[in-house]
Amino acid sequence: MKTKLGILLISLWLAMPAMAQQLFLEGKVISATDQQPLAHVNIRITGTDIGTSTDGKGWFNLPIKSKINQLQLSLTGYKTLIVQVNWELNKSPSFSLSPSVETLQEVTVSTGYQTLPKERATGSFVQIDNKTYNQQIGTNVLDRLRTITNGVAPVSDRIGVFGDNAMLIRGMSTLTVAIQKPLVILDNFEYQGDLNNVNPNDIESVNFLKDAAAGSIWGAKAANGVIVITTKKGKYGQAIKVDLVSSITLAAPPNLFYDQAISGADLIEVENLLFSKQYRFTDTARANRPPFSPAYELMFQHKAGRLTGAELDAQLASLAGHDVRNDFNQYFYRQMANQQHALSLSGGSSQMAWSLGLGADRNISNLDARYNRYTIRWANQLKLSEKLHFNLDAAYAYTNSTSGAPGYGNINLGTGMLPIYSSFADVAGKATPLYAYYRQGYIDDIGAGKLLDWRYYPLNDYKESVTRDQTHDLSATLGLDYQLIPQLKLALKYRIQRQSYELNTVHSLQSYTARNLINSFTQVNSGTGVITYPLPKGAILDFSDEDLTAQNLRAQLNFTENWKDHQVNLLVGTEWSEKVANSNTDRRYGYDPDILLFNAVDLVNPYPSYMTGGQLYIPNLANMGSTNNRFVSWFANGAYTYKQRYTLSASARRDASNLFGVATNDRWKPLWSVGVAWNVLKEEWIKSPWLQQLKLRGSYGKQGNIDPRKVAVTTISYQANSNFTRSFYSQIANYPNPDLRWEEVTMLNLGLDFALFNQRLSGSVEYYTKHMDDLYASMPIDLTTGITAGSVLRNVGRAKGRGWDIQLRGYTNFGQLKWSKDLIFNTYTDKVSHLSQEVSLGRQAMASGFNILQGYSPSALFAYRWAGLDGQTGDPIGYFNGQQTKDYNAIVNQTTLQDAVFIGTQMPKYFGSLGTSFAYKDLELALRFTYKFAYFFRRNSIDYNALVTKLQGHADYAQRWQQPGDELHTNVPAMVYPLNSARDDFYRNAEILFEKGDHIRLQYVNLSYSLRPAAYPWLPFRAMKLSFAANQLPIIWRANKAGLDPETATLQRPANFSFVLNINF
Amino acid sequence: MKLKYCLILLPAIMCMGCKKFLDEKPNGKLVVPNTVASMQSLLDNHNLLNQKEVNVPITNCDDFQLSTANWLSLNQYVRNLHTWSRENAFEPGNGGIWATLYGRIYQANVVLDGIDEVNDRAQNLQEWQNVKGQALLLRARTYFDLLQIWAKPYDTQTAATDLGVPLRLGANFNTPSVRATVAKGYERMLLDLRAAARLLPNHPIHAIRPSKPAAYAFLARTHLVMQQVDSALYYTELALQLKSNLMDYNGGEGVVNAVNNAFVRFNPEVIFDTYLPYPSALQKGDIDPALYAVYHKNDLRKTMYHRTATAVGVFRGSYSGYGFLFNGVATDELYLMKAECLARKGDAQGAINTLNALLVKRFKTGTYVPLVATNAQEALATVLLERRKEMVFRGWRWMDVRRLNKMGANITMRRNLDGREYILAPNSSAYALPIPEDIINMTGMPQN
Repeated sequence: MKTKLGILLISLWLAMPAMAQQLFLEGKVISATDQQPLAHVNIRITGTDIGTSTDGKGWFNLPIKSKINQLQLSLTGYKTLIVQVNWELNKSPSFSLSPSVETLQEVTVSTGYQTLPKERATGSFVQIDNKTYNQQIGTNVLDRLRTITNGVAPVSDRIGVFGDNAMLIRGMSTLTVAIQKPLVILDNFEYQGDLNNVNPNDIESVNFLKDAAAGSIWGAKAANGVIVITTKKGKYGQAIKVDLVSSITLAAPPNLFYDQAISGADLIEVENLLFSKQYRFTDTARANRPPFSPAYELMFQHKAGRLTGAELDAQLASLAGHDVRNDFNQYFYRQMANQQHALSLSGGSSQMAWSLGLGADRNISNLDARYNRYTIRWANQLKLSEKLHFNLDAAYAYTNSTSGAPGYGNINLGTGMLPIYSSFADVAGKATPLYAYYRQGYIDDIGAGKLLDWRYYPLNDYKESVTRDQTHDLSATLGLDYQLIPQLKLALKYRIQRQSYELNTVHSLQSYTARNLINSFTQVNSGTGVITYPLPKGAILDFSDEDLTAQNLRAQLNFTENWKDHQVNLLVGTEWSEKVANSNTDRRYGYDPDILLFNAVDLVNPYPSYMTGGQLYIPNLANMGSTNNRFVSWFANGAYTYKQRYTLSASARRDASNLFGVATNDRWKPLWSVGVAWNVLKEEWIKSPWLQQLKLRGSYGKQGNIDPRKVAVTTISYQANSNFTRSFYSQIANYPNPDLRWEEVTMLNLGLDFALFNQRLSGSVEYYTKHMDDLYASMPIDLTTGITAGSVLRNVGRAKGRGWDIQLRGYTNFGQLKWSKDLIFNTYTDKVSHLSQEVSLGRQAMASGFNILQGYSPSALFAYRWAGLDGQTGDPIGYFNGQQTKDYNAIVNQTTLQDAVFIGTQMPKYFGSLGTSFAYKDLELALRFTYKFAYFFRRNSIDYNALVTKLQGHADYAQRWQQPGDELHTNVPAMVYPLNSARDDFYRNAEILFEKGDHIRLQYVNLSYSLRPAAYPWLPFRAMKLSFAANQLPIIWRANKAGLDPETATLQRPANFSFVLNINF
Repeated sequence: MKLKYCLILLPAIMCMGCKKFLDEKPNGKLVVPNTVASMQSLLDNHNLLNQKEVNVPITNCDDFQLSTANWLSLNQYVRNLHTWSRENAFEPGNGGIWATLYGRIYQANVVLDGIDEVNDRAQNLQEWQNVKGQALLLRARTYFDLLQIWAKPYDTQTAATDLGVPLRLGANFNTPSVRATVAKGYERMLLDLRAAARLLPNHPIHAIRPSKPAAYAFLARTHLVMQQVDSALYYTELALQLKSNLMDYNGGEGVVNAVNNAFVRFNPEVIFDTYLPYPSALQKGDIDPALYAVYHKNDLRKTMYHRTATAVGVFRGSYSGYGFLFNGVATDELYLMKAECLARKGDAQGAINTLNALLVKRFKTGTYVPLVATNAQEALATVLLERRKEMVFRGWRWMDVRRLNKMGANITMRRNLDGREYILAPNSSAYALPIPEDIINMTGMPQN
């Protein structure tokens, strides 16, 4: 609290020059339409830097030097008012501002290199307004953008390849997952650290650059689209503003029963069958004592005569009644509770502007994992002289987190899945062991007291192996703008960012990890009985740290000249960047966290394992790494506007990097774009009372994409030190590819921006095509070549994509009720247009993720034709060479692409969202629906191979074919033993398992109440808002009949509910 | 004003240092292999090159039996392999052991392609020779494995036309794969092995690396499967001159006689260490009762190799310690090769003497009664039986049956499983296993 007060005082002091005056003009500003007071109206004495802004009640207090002043009153959305005020005549004047259509359009867009009026932009920019941005609550800056941005599709978790929370701007631009991410620019420079370290409340605006004219200035990294994030800055001559946001977000645990797991009774039935076939009986004799499931152990006891048939049945029935998901719910899952608090202050004098953002987040996950984040961001601009401006920004973030309980699906047996009927505790709540790695009975009384308990207790084990991490992220930006001549400005910018990340896991002596390792290495002298511990008896500490230092240096010349009807803007510059990362990992044995000591161990010589006598080496986890990515870029951008009607823009950039093994002259990659815009409304011949904006624009150009891992020569990577030869050994890291080129995306964009009927209807319509050239793809290769991965990455393909991005906004007022609508409608289709290598096998097209196939979308799904179940055996029937067959090996290995069934694409052809809000007086309700149409997904079903070998079952087991006649109402094949994995492969990819993905989801709801301080003059602040938001809400319509979430294969993210308080002082 | 122009020139000045700035290495651990040490590091990757040996010769051999229940519990491709199926013996998708073996060849070829161009050849001539020798041996012994699995047994009459395996002699992966003849395959192996033998040192720094005696042993093996007795004997003796020490199974260095392993890894007999994880079929299998029965009760191997008559997956006799099956080169094999060659050359006494020298170390002290043989024929039979007993589960039975049948041994392998009898007749074409179907699909090469 003290520090916050201190910061406030310093801020007040910094703003002092603006206040230390003698005369004051006190006034009030109201809206001309509803006579309500207007806050944040900027009031300035024309020709000076003296100014202030109104408070929440519309009042302002302006220091003046002379008695007669000309004031300029401006507020976004209102016509600027210039009035002469005589202090002697009116010490407390009142002004009214009327809304303006024109000023609303004076929006600027930022590319990270320049800020330009949207009116003159030729490229495709999407701006996220602050209001929509804040309708969702979250820890991460980007998460909430996924569902509200025109042209951006959140990637379904089912597609898998892109990882969690991925977003694609205008579909795919590359098939290589590692380079699929959009480029993120934070305050002019590429953000190199973890974006989780940025407080979302520090964000002023977000711009998406979607086409070549907008993004090509970013050159070889821009092909996936660019997200330009600008943080809050103070303004010269602005009175101190203080904003406080405080929110709490709650979510119930996920519904574990959404997972279609096999029932306990069915699983035991399967295990009974396996037991009768003597499945895994030989494992009882293996020296490493592989574990069996609890049901199997009971059956073994029965076989050995230690249980009667009746006792066995009773115990199995009791097991069957149990569901481990109840234990997960009871012992591990809890309510998620995330708190977020942020304080922003900003202000400015005539020479200086500043802003300060403070943030604190405290998150407790559904599994009791903790995450805390503290951020501070300072931005400062100084006018050293009229010509020389200087700015210094600094930000620091500290985060730490602590691991929580294991989630459902994260506890496994050494041999497979956790059987669904398992439990973690007995009826009294006492932890029960789970025989996950060694066999029950064998380890219960092993070692005759000489060893540590060798059993694994999931109920408590996570409390004994706790992982903590922390990040320090510090960045500083220096900027210098110098006006050389009135037309020419030199801008120098430098940023340094340092992020350090530390992670450590302490496996206490009570943890299974430590006990297991210590026991394995325990040596008992058979003669003397003396016990020695080559792996010391104590805790084990795993730690790793990573340091990242990124530096960017940019020098840029801006030229601006206006004469008569001509307007010219040019910029040219160079940027050098470097990103150095160093990492270090190691482990300490016999660690004592109290005295911070550990034992040295012998990592070089083998020891006989206690259990098997086999030779074991104490695991050596030491590893170090370092990477250094460097870029040098040259760029130029120019725009010429004639009569404010016609704009022509062009941009060019060359990048070079320190890619390994590439000859210097191949390093440079030129990329360029051109654009035109026609502001139709500025034409003299057009005079329409209902048309407020009409602009046509088009652009064409090339952007690149670079994979820093790919190099042109054979490289090897060192692995470790050999215990035998004491030399380093290595493996081949990269297969040579002298023809390697950077990927290139050529995009054509045509757009129309319009506003009608006094802004009641506005929007944009854009059409784009993109040609992706030299796409890297992993192409199957003859394994005889020795490429054991079975594929090599080559620049093999060309693909085309095209789509429409349409956004319509409307406002309707019914008296006091204001209704607004925001419809985003996107279409996207793509196709591989050329492939230098043919893929002929159906099986290759059915591999998970994306596959590159001539004439099809990279997200195409293929399946095997299905001919139903055999009425006699319940075997699935497929087709091979047009004939019905049960030769699954032939189907799976030889079905050609032509004979496979094309299902559709995994990426939706139509997607977008509909946001709508209703405002009545102080209440506002905002909702957003998202939708995706025309796409498909594969649902899971029973896989007998996984069921038998891993005890991983699916609820479809209960629907399986069991007797003749069943084939009339089920498609689930009969269970077979011995296993036939080709049969499982065929069924898994049979056309009947594919579902239409089409769905509509209520994405979020936000209800807010704004308190107008005018009505409560005793309140000490300008404005206050209370909101309630609900996020990740359920699907309201889906095409599939199975009730599946087409976007999630495993557990659905639970809905979360936030309560937010905003106060402005 | 002058300062202003300097500022304008700043970007131009920055350009000067550009090339140097971009010469920085992007990843500290990534290296272009252009030194002897970097080449050696590729060959020292024992995880890849010494510990993933092929299991087919064991899964397919008749040293063990599976019960029907255990056979049925195996993956269908292993079931097919174990019963010598003519199709679907290998799981499709990742190429399995075909890919593993050719991956080894790629690794060897990368070294062989680059070793002549390394920067520091002159300064490290000995190491350079050693590395080149290791790579040649790696490539040759991998072709040996490939030919024993996917090509017909060597036959002087037909080798020039019998289809072998593709011979890839460079790392360029754009070269199409074409099956070479069996004769070409063996010719290349002998060429590489003879070169390796010239280059490798007499004594390696560790048995994980190949050495001259290992190269001689591989040469002897190759000539043996080519039924060239003189050459086999010649190289066996060269190897024995360099290393001939045997362990005494009664105790001593290398012998631990622990519950699950009788010997330590890198024991004194080991010349070159390679191993394979237990094949899933053997984990569930019992030793062939007929074979178990022929071990004499005083033969230590009976208990040190096999825990019981139905020793399910608990073979204790591996020279790689617990859990892995040794299939490298050890001195005991040299004695057995020498004895066999001598017997085949008609020297019954020499053969038996060599065998006695080995077996006396295998029997309980003081119980060994030296064998005698009245003629070379009898000596040969004795040697071959001892060879099978000594080298059980080292993966040699499959190769031996192939070559012995070529020489008229007339060994038929049989399996009785799930009410059906599977027979592998002598010199059957099924001795050349089906090449994985996806490899055939991709390359269009002819199937066996």
